[in-house]
Amino acid sequence: MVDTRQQYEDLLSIYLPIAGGVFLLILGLLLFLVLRYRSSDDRPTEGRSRAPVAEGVYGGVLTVVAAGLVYLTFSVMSEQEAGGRADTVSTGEVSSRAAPTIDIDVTAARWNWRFDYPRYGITQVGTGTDTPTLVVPVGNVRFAVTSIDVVHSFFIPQQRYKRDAFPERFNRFTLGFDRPTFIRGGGKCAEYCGLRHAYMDFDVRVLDRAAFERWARSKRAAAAGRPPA
Amino acid sequence: MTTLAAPPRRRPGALSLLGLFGSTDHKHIGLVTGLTAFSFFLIGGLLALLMRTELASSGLQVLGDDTYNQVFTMHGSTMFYLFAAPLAVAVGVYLVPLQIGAAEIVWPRLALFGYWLFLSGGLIMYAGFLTADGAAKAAWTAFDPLSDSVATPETGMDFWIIGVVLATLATMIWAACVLATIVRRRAPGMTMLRIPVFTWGMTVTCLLVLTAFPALLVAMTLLYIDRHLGGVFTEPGGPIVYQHLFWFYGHPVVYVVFFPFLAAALEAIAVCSRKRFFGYHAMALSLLLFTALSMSVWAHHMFVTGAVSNRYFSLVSTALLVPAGIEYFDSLATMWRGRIVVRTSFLFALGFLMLFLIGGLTGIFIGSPPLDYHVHDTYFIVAHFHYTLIGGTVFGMFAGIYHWFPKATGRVLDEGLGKINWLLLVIGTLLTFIPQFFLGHQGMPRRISDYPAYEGWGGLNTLSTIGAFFIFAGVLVFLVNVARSLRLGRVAGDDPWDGHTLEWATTSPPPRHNFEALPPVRSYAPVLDLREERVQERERAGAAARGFPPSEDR
Repeated sequence: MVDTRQQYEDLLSIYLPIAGGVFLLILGLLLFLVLRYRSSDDRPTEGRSRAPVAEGVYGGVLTVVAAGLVYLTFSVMSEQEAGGRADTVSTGEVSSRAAPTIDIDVTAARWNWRFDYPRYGITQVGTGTDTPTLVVPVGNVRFAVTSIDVVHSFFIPQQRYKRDAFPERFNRFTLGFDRPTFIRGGGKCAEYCGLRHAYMDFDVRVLDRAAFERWARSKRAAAAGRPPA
Repeated sequence: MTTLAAPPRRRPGALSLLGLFGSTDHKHIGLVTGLTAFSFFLIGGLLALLMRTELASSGLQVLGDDTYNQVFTMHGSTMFYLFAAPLAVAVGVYLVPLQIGAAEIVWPRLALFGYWLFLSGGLIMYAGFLTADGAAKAAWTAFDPLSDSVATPETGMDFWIIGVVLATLATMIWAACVLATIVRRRAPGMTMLRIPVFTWGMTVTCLLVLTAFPALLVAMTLLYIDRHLGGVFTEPGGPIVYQHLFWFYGHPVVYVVFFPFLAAALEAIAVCSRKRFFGYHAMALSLLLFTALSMSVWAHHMFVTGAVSNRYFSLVSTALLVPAGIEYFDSLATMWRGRIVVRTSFLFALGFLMLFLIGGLTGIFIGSPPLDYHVHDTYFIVAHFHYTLIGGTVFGMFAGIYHWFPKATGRVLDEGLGKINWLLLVIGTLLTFIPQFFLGHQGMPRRISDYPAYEGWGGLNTLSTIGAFFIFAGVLVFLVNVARSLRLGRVAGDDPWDGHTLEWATTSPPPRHNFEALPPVRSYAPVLDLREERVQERERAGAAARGFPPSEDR
């Protein structure tokens, strides 16, 4: 399963201690220098004003640190890309689940969301008063995100992931949902899109596979029973 | 002047207000621009207070959605287009000729013309509030299609575009003047590797302005045509083209508003450490590396668009930590074995190092796409760039003001009030923006007028709002300090701090053509050279008097 949340947490667990350590180190050095070299003697000092070797070595160390961080980031990006690809050809882990990945087409509009499930022929959409609900099964879901007007951004904080929705363009990505849950306002528009941007949320409901199939069937039956709106 | 006229109330040599706004003296242009930009800073700050007040708790209390959108748009636009970028170059207009021993800036009339463009731009942008539908409301980035004539048909948006163009053009004009001055008007003996640290900061700033800002002028012109004639960004991919144009300006501009203030903080550190700036050549090299990299990283603002090479932009963005690390090394090494006197300018420089560090380190986080996918366009980003802009720009600006105020006015700012000013700003900046990192991590998007109570973001937002009022109080103390010190402040004399560079070798304020005579320039700290020579001579004389041979080591 594509676990963007775990990937985010893993990467953060490396970046955060490094950043914290550097912050404390420099804060400590600053305090030490100020307290140690505070002086009321107003003659200029003739301390050293250059140390090319030390600076060169230090620059080299910084470059190595930067390279290390870039390597970690690239590894996670490769993992994400591989996860998405493995998924499209339905191999290995995914097929053993015996439940193929489903597709959801997401259309953003000022200020609402529409979720189309092409395989099931059903659509979830909000109204002026009701927040739309994104219903997904446990496991991988392939999204294709677009917009009918301005730029929006499809953001599910729980998944630690977002992608912009552009008009006349599809952004495709795969997200894995690990367990059944319901998150009120669990999806948001993250790109400023005008007057009611603040309210452009959607709820997220994750169902286990059987429950999802039941929900999709009943939803489809209900839609077929009524004339199209 | 006839003898019959009433004697003028002002001192001889002082200018009338009109004279000040029409003078081609680079010091007057720099001061007037600085004052105007600072006024926009105050207005932009008040807009921020409105936003923080609205966001203190869930629900709409003070502003409506539409007003909130205007307020945050104008806050960001004011701070970048009308405060930080113009101020960054204006400090160069004032200081660079003094630092390099020039009598004048190159093209002074053009620079004055720039001031009037800038002022007109600001007034036109704000005139949007007078239109029926209010000021611009498409954020300071004005992404297409949100900014097009369908999504935002209001006149305020057109006023905004014109204002941005005028203010940006002005900034480019000043950058051309300052860069030409650095290239052509340096004092005898001052090679490019002897220009002061601050002048290095201005050199790279002007290079960035002249290479990156044209992209914004292009974007604004195309946007204006698109709004009135149509057909520019309407092709598929048009919105992405706009974002490229915008960020090709929009990323370098954050370095434009960083370098001069970084350099001001570095000068304050060297002078207050009573020591020659450490690692001058490394500093110059790293500033140039910084400049080159900062021109190459723009699309890290577009990681979540799915339309750019995230790997390339992640690589070059992370590489920025190398020049940044070298600047930190140089500033710490300058203090090492110094004789530090903790003045307000020094405290602000320390605040700069500490607070900018938070912005810089979190910047490394968001240079990593998998981390950015989550925090992009959330309050995490808001917190990150406010640490670079308040920690960097504002703290550096105050370090510079406390350092150079005596040079410009002839009086020293009060140190007691200065320290209160500093403390309030430090507390305010920590309290306002640390909670926003957590809010962003929890998924609170930026640019929202309201948030639902069930999200549980109220507490952190309240803290953040309280912090904003600390910043407000800090700025008020500063204004009181200026008002008081202009009348009652200690008289500065030529060189109140034992400065290192040429501006301290003339009167405060300097005369019309800056210098009566110039000391010889043999390094990047000519005034410090003179002082060291005097100290050595005194010591030699003392040693000779006591019968010791003169010391040879240096």
